[in-house]
Amino acid sequence: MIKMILPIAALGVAMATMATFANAPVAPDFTLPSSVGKQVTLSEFKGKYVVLEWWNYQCPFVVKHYNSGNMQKTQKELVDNGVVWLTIVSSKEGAQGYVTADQANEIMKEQKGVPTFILHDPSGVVGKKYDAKTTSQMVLISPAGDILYDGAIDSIPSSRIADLEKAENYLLRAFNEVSAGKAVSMPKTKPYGCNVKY
Amino acid sequence: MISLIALCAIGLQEPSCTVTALPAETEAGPGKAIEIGLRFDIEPGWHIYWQNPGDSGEATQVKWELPEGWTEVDLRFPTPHAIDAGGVTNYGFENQVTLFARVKPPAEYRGDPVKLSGEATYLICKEACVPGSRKFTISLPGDAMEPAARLEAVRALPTPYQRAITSEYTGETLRIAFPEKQVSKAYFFPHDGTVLNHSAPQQLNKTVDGYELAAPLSKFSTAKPAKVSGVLVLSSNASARGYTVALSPKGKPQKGGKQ
Repeated sequence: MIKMILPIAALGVAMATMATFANAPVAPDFTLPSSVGKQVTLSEFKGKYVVLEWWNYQCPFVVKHYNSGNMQKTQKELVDNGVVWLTIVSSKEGAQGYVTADQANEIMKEQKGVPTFILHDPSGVVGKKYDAKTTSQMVLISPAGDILYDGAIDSIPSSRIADLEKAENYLLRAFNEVSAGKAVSMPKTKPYGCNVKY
Repeated sequence: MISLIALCAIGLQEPSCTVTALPAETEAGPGKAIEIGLRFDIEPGWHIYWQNPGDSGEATQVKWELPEGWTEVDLRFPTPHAIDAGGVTNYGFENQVTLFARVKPPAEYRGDPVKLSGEATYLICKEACVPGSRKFTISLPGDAMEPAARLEAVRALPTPYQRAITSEYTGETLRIAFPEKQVSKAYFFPHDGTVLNHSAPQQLNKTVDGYELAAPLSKFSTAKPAKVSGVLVLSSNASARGYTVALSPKGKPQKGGKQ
């Protein structure tokens, strides 16, 4: 179930974030080409929340989240609240999940996903910077550039759509907590899914 | 009557995978649990997962549809193998593996004909992963596993470790001490996937009383559970044996936490 998120003024939350998360690790900066041609740099989004989603459209776990509409709903909730959503493909060329820009756009459009950008990381450099182990591993970054959450998208590590009903969305939980000015109760969880095909 | 053998035919690379379900024995006593052997024949090069799949993947499971009064007891796995899958470590099985599922009839069951239905669900992987599920039905009374096959499959199951075993959390490591005389290799497979770092090597050291195995803890969890269960595999010369262990590690949680 997706909880409703209250819209928050980005600056006010940024202040609260800096006060609460002194120990949060800094999110490594990176620049990657996007599927629409523009080069995208993480630090250009300072002042906004950013989500990183590791994507492999053929992985059964990713299929679960997209076929059910769960990922798209999560994307929409956060993007509608001013969050920048970066979907990253770290599969190497020839490996499962690897997509050209056109393929990425076509597949995401078909599935009605609404990430801000889809980024291509076929050399795996960014994936390894973040120690991305699985698809769908999720990272939430504060407006100040700190990692607030890193891990599984939700609480049930299965590839079955039926499990979504009972699963708690950990990404939304973390975002709701910081939006309410609270500390993230679980900043790190074990990600699940298919291994990233470096 | 013979149980149903179901064939795979899934999308993507379509690895072959069959599941054969047969009772382990022909006899079924009143109120006594019945053991069902589920043999998976897996396409070479592919693997399915143990109850803790490791860094990625998904545990093999069985869902039962049992008649009134029948209950599920458990699902037992043979000792798993560590499989390196593109830089991450998974725990699972290749080629052929037999899982043992136990179900219990109601107290008044006297061996009347009955059908037990179930579905095995699994993730089968090579570089890519394909989810699969196979329905099966067992008719009792009826055919059972071949005694020789059953014996071999049962031998692959881990057995409870009989000697004294102690354990402790020190720093970012779980140390397990056991009193064996001669061990060439050891590895601990935890049942819970959030405790250990599955990709990090475990260090075996000789001690005065036997051996100590040092297993690095997971980077994802700050909790150091009071109880850790799993399978300890001990190898000496050419043979390896798996033992189920239930640990109660000493040691306080680290100051300051990990975040």
